[in-house]
Amino acid sequence: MTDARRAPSLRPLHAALLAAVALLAVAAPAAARAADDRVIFRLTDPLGDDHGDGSLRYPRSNDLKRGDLDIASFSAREEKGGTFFEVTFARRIRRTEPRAIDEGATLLTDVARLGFYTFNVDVYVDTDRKPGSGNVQLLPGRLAELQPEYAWEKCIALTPRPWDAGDETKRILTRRQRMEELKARGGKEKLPRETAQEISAEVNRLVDEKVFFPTVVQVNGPTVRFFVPASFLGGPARPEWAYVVFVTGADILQKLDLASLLGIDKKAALPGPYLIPVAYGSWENKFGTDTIDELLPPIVDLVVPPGASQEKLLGSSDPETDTPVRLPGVVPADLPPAGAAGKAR
Amino acid sequence: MRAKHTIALLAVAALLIPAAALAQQGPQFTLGGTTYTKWLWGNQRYQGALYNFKDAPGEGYGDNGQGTEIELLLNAKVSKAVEVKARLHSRFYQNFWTNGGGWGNPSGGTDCSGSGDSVGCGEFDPRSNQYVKLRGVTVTLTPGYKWIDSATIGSNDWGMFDPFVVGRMRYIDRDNVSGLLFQGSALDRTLTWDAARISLYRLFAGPSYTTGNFHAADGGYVGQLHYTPSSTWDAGALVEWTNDIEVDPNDNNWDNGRNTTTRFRNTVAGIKLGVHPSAGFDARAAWYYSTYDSVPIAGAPANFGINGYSPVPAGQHSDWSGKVDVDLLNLGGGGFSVNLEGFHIGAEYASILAARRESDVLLTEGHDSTWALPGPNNAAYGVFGGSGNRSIIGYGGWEGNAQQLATVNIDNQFTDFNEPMAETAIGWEGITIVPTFQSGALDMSAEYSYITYDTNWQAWGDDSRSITNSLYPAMDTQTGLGSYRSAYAPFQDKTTHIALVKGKYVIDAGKGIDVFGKIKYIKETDNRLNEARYLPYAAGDCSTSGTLECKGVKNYYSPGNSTADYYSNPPVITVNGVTGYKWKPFDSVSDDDRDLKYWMVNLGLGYQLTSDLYASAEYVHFDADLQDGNTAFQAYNLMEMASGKHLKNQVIVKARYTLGGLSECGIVYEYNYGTFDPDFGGGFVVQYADQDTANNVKVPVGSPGFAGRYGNWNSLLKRDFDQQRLKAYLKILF
Repeated sequence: MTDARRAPSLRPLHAALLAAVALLAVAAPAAARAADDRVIFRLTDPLGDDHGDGSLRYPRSNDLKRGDLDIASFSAREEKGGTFFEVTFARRIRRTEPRAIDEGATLLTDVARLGFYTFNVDVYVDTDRKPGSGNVQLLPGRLAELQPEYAWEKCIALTPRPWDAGDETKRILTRRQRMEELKARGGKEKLPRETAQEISAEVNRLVDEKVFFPTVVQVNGPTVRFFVPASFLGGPARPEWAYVVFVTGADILQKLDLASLLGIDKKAALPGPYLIPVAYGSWENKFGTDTIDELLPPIVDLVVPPGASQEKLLGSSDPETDTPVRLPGVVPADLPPAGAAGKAR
Repeated sequence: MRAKHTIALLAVAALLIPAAALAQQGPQFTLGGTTYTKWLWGNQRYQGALYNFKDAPGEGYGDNGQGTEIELLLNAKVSKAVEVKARLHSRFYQNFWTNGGGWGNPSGGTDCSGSGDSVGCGEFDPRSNQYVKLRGVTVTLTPGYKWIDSATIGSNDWGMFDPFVVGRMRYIDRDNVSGLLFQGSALDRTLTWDAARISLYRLFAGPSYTTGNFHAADGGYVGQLHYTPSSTWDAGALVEWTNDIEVDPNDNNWDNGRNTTTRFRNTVAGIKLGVHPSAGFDARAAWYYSTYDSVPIAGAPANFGINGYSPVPAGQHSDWSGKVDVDLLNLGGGGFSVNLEGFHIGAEYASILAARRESDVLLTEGHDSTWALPGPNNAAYGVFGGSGNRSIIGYGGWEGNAQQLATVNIDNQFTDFNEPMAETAIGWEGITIVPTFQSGALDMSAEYSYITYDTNWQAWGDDSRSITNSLYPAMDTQTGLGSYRSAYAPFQDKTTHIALVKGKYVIDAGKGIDVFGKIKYIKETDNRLNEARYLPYAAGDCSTSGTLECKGVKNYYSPGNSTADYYSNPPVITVNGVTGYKWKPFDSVSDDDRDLKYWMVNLGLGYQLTSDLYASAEYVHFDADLQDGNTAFQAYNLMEMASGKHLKNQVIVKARYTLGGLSECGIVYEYNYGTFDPDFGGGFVVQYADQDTANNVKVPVGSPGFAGRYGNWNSLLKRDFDQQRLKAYLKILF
């Protein structure tokens, strides 16, 4: 072919592109030196305990295998404007891929935009450490409470669909609060519209104030990092606070429980937004168990303080008295120096 | 007046606790499902189906129409140990709202093919009526024995194995393939095993996309072991054996039953090792070996021409594939990581049950999905004109970058434009380096890939055969800017370099503005026929001065075999007083050379407008200089030539709205526009389209071009492309 057919020289652009690639390859050192200085705390968790109360079995689904929800460590790192929390699992995190998840070829990457789709991580933070102050109830569907001395003021809920989970949480709580109000009024008259709207507004305000659903998320190998602004926590995370951290399975396709909604089956409750529930037996799309306990929480792995047993804690509910499990927090500042943080192996 | 009630946040959650009865012991039955409505609009004005792409013969495709489907999911937990699931699904293909419910026969019985613009035959055609079909039934037994965890009988997506060996079925086909699956564990679940017998799907799981005449006993048998003693390392092995048999036509004694004979047999084995000593280091290695024998009976081909179609080569073959991945993560804790991959996918590697779509076996981005088929606007065989050879997916192709798969049995059927394209990686070998950097709201990565090909050969790697008598299916041929399922070519000497930088940043404004972009460069060369002994005719066979003529003295590269059988000499013609060859004689090894310099730039924004509504907009620009042979080569006489300058632009707008968390609707709009300025080189006389040519290939009468060896017309006009298309949907889960 003649030279006339050749495109104009692109060497300057080649050089620029290769330079950009090389720049990334040398960007680490300066950043790395500063990184370790900003670690606030780091908690470790034993491997191989991703079984809840000891009886939990992973769903038979091909999207979740043993080890996927096994927390190895939980840490906090101060960054400009807030805190990056980091959870490292025993196995590489399954990344979202551009594959269809419904008949209309909706892509997984369009629904779970943050790069992960198999887990939720809850972090409940007791910022004032005052007994009796804060909330002991957890987000809907967790089937657990906190021990009163660890009642939380702030909750961080990492989930593949943060916007939708936030909305769904508000909807569930609003609905339940309206039902409670109706019951308090004798249940014979319809709740006034103004009252219903006030309840909705108040629930929304409280959720926005106390619950944060991260949207700045990085997934890298077995580690997920999520950013929580200082405006939410009132500053960077502090090692003196108490943290309750656990992981649940994520179901990114929420379905409506018709029976529960219509009141046909009062015992069949909506498990919680985008949460994989637990059920007796072995299932493809639920965690299985041989434990006969209606209050068994769908918590797969929990970071507990030294001396505590995850299995005992998550198996401590009492269905006869409707008493759920009660979880303790971990105070990083109270732990021995690095290497023995969290629960001893 | 403010309500006299106070709300302790989540105090009401206490109501959920006694209400929850998630660990019920008794039998349970649940009924759920999904309804999905799609609205397509496009300026190609096709109306053959509610999917943008389907190019199997006799099937329809479309970019216009509305339709609704419903699927019902039945789940019965009979006891702790027994679960039954079933899926009923209404047909979703040509069930347009304009069918009025699928009654009657819109075409009057004249054309029920559903092909192209065929409106089908309404109620009398399962593609048009809205009958509900049983799509799959699965019975799962979990007996609680120590030696077995579960036995699953019936439909399965087979995603528990490996995309190189037995891949997960694509989503819409997740219930199509049934079999027996047994799964168990030992050593405190550190050792798991899977064993299955898969009934071979007779629409694709064999040579020529069939399993022959006797299909009912055909099966694939697979066994897998996986050992995970700790989180720091794991190992696995699997083996699969496919057995496709036919009734032996030579057996004339039926009194003792009928004998069988093998049509296709395929054995694939794989071993894998993973090492994960810390969160900062991860290494994985996998090696696979395949052997297969395709016997030319019951429709299995004995050989192919230049452009054969089959999911596996003909005859007996064996080959290996493998890859090694090393991840260095968060080096120094500074957010910098490097992912490295070395890979080799053998030219003759084949597993008939390997993943065909919705998997990605390589780290590299590969090619871009907008360039899917050889023609400048993604037509195959567009040179021959006619409605059957027009572009189906259209100028815009598919979206994003392609997904690479270890098979030529690629499946892009029943897809829409907003999906990624699957492309074959058979024969690919090379390395990929992907550095990444994450800091705060910034996420950046780059890639460099060097790819050469195990399919680089002359005369199909066996010059004892004619190039029109090949064992390898070249599918739509490797010409133009893209050809998603073509791994083989008669002559190939190809290398590819891919380099890119991409990034995403969330601007801290409002709810957070996503900004994303990419710059990508591909340099690809293929010298194709690069030995003079393979040239079709003797040196100087066609004169270049004086009286023009070609003597026709063939050049034989082996006894009886000459490429002149395919690349015939041109006649001498006179057009408007100019005398010359109708196309350039193939007299130089550079006549079929391919040289691609390709740039892609992408910039986009996304924003969560409300908690329910997310929208994004992006602009993509492509600039490709392609030299893909001249008129001597003619894109194998079969495809539109694409040598020249390609400038393509895409504007993509998306929005997704979630309704009450249980339903959603969304819209994707694409505007594709650009130009193709052909440059086919010289050495031929420019011809002008007559009325018949104009009518056939849709060019102006009298426009310049040339007619090729098979009467195929390549236009020399600069082409302006403009494609708009839209897809809107509503989905409700219940």
